Amino acid sequence: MTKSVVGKSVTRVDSFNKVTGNAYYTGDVKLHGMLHGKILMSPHPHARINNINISRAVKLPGVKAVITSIDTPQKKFGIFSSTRDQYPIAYDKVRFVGEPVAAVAAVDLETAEEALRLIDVDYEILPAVFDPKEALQEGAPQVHEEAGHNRCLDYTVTYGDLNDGFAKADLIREDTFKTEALAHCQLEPYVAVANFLPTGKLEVWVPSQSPFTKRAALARTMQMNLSDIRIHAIDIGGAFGGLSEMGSAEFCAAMLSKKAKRPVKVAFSREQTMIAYRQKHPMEITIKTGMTKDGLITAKDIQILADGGAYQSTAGIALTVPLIMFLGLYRIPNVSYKALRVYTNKGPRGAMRGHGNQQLRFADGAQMDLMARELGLDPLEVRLKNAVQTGDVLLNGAKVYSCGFTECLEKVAEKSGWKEKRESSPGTLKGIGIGTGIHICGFDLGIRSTSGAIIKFNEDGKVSLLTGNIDNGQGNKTMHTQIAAEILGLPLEDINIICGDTDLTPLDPGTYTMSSAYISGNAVLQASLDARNQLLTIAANELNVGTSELEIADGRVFIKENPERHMRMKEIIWAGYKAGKHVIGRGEWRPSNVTPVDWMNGKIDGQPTKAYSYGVVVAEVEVDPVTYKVKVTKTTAAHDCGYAINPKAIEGQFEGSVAFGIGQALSEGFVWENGRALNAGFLGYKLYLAEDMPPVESIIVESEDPFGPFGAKEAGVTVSIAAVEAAVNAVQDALQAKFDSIPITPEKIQQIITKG
Amino acid sequence: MGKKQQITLKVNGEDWEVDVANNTTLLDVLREDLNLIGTKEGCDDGSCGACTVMINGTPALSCLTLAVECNGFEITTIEGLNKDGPLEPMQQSFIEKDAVQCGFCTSGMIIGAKHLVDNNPNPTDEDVRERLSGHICRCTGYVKAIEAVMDGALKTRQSR
Repeated sequence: MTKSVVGKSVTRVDSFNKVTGNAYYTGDVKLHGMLHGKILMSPHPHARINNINISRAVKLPGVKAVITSIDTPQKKFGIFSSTRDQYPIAYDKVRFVGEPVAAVAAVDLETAEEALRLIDVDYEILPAVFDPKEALQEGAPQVHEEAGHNRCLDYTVTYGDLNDGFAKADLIREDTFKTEALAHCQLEPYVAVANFLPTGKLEVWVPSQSPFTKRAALARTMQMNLSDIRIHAIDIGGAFGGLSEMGSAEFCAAMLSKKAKRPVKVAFSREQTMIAYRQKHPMEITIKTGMTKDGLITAKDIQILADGGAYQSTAGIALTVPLIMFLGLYRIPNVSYKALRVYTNKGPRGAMRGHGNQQLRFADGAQMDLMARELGLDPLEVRLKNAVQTGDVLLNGAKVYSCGFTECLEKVAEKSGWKEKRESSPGTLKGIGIGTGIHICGFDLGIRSTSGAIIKFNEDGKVSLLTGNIDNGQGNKTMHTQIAAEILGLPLEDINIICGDTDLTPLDPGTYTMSSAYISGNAVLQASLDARNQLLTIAANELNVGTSELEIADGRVFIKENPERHMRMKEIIWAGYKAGKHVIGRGEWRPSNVTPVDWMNGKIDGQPTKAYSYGVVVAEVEVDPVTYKVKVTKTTAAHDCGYAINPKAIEGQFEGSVAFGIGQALSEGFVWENGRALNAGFLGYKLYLAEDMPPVESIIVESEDPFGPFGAKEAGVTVSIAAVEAAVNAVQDALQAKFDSIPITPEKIQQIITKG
Repeated sequence: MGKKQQITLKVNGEDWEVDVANNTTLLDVLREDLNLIGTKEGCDDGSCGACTVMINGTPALSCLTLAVECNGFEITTIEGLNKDGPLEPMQQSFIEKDAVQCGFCTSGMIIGAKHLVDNNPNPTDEDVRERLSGHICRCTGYVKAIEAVMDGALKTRQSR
C-alpha cells in the first residue's frame, strides 16, 4: 500500500498555536472568581504533627479557605491497591521536605502566601534516615512504623544456573555503580485548577500523562464518583514520566474549591515542582558478570538497591521494568536479579524516562566496556555478539517479534566512523563510547490496557478525532492525526483531534510505558478503518457499485476503474444523514496475550510486553585538562522505532533524548544536605544548554513490527537511555579509567587525572 | 502589597494604563492584567528564559522586571509578532524546522531569536547558540531550534 500521509515529515498540528502564544496550558486557565491556592510544605524531613492551628490564617482578610488533613477524607493513594501509602496532605507525620501539610485559597497570591505564614504547625522532630544502606540497619528510623522495616520492595528472581554460567567464563568481574536522584524539569511548573460545582461535580485542569489515572486517584482520595470528575484536555509543557501519578496540586485545588465554593488554582514554584512531587530513583547497582575471552556473556548477577524516598509511588514498576528490558537486549543464559527498594526521608521517587531501566543500562554498559578493555575486545563487537535478534524467545518466555538492534549497532558504527576513531583515541583526552537502549511498548495496566478512539464525521465532511491519549510535546496529536488522515484519505487540516478529556474521550493507557504509538495508535487506526468502511458502504450504495470497487483518497471516494465517478466526503456524509446514518468510527486496541506482571515480586514470565524498541548511541568527547570539563563533540544515534510515522518528529525525539541522556551522564543531579535538595532550581541543577549541545546524527531504523500501526513502535526514549551509557563510556575511553557514578562531574575527573 | 500606582505601557502597539504595586512584575501585568498569556513563567528566578519579552527593543526577562520600572516603555510579546496577520519569518521557521515540541519555551525563544536576527542578520552558529543558551528547553535538545533560527535569519534577510 502506498502511503500518502504517514511516513512523511509533516507540520505539527499544534505548532501554529505554540509559535503565536495561543497554546493554552493549565497556568493560563482563568475562571470567574478564581482564587489562588498555596500549599504549606514541611520544612522537616521527618516529624510528627502534634497539632496544626489555622485560626490566625483563617482570620486574614482575603482568605477564603484553609484545609488540613482533617478537612479531607484522609484516603491514601498509590498506583496499586497494595501500595497506597501516601496521603495527598500529611495526616500524622511528614516524611520528606516538601510534603504538603495544609493549603490555603485566597483572593490573591500574596494573601495566600501570607496566610501560610500564619499557620502554626506543632512538629515533633523525629530522627531521619537519608541513606538507603543506613535505612536497612537495625534501629534505623522507621519511615513507616507500621511496616516494621524500611524495605518497601525486596525480591530475587533467577533464570538459569549462575554457578554454571560463571564456570564457563574466562573473566569474572564485579563492580558497583551509583546514580543520583534527578528531576524531570518539565519547563511548565506543576499547576492545577479545580472548580467544584454546586451540582457536586468537579472540573479539573492539570498537566498529566494520563487524565484517567489522575481521575481515578482523585475520585478515591476525594471520595467522589469517578464520573463526577472531569479532567479537561489542555496543552502540556513536558512530562518525561513526572506527571504519571496524582499529585497534591490537583487534590488541594479540588478540596479548596469545594470548601470555598469558588474555582482555585494551585501553582507550584520551580523548587516545589522539583522536590515535592516525584523524582527519578537513585540506585546503587552491583553487577557480577561472566564473559568468555571472545566476549560472550555467560552470567549476570545483579543487585539493585534503590532509594525510593518516603513513599511507594511506582516502586514495583521502577524495579521490575529494568528486569523485563534487561532480558530483551542481550542473550544472557543465566541471570540473577535482586531488587531492593527502601524508604528514606527524601521526596518520593517515581517514573522518569525509562524508569529504572536507564540506571541499570548505565551500570551494565559501563562494566561491559571495562570487561572489553580487559579482554582486548572492541566494545561494539561485544554488543553485536550478544545482541537479541528478531524471533528470539527470552528467558522469561517472551517472544521478540521485531528487533532492529543489530542494524542499529552496525549503522551507528559505520556512520560514526567507530573503528577508525577507536584506534586513534588512546593516549589523548579524546574518547568515543557506545551505549545501548531498549524499551517496552506498553505493559498490562489492567482495565487501562485498552485504548479507545472515536472518529466522528461532521456535516462538512470533516472529522473530530477523539482519543484518550495525550500529547506532552512529543507529537502524539500529529502522529494520531496522520494515522486517521492516511486511512480516511483526508488532508491533516480536515481532522481536529481532541485528546485526554475524561468526559469526552475513551479510556487510554496514557503517555507512559511508551504505548502512544503502539497501542493508542492502533486504536486510532481501528476507529479510522471502521469509519472508512461506513463511508464506503454509503458511497457504494449511492454509486451503485460494490465497496471493493471503491478507493478513498484526496477527500473523496471514487470508483477505482473510473475515478471520475466519485463522491466528496461531505456528499457521503449528507447521503448518510438522509438515510438515517451517522458516520462514527469506533476503535479499540489491546495487545493480545500480554501477561500481567506481578510487579512487587518481579514475576515477569510470559509476554509482559508485546513489542521492544531499540536504540544505540555513539558519543565522542574531549576532556579539558585544565577545567576537567567534558565536551561532547558529536553524537550518532540509531533507533529502531518500527516505522517512522513522522520522521522529523522522531529526529526531534532523538535530539531531545541525546540532551537528556548526556545531561544525566555529565551534569544533572541533586546535591543533598540532611534530606534537603540544595540545588532545586535551574541555577543549581545543571541542564544542558544550546551552547553545550553536540551535533546529533540521527539514523532511523525500521524493523516494521507485525502488530504496531504501520509497523510503528516507541520512538525516542531508548536513545535517551543509550546516550547516558555512551557518554560515560566515552569519558572512560578518553581517560582509560573507570567511573562508578553519574553524573561525571569535573570534580570526579580531577580526582582521576590528578591521581594519575 | 502596598500602595498601587498607575503606569502606562505600549504593548504590541496598544496603549495601556495599569495600576501596579511596587513589587508587581512585568510578567504578572502582561499575563494577569493584559491577558497576554503567550509569555510563560517557567522558573520565576530568571534562569529559564520562558518569560522573555522585548522592552524598548531589547530582550528582557519579564519575571525579573518590575512593572513600575517600565512606565512609558514599549513592550513586545509573542502575540505582537504577527499582529497584522502573517507570521514573522522566525515563527514560520520554528514551525517548518519542527523546533517546537511542548512549546512552553517557544515564545521566549522566538522573541530572543528575533532580536538576534534583527541586530545581526547573518548570525553564526555560535551567535545562535549563545542567544539560545538563555532559554532552557527540555524537549528538543536545541538542534532544531538552532536550525530554525538560522533559517529565520535567512528568511528575514530575503524579506528585506
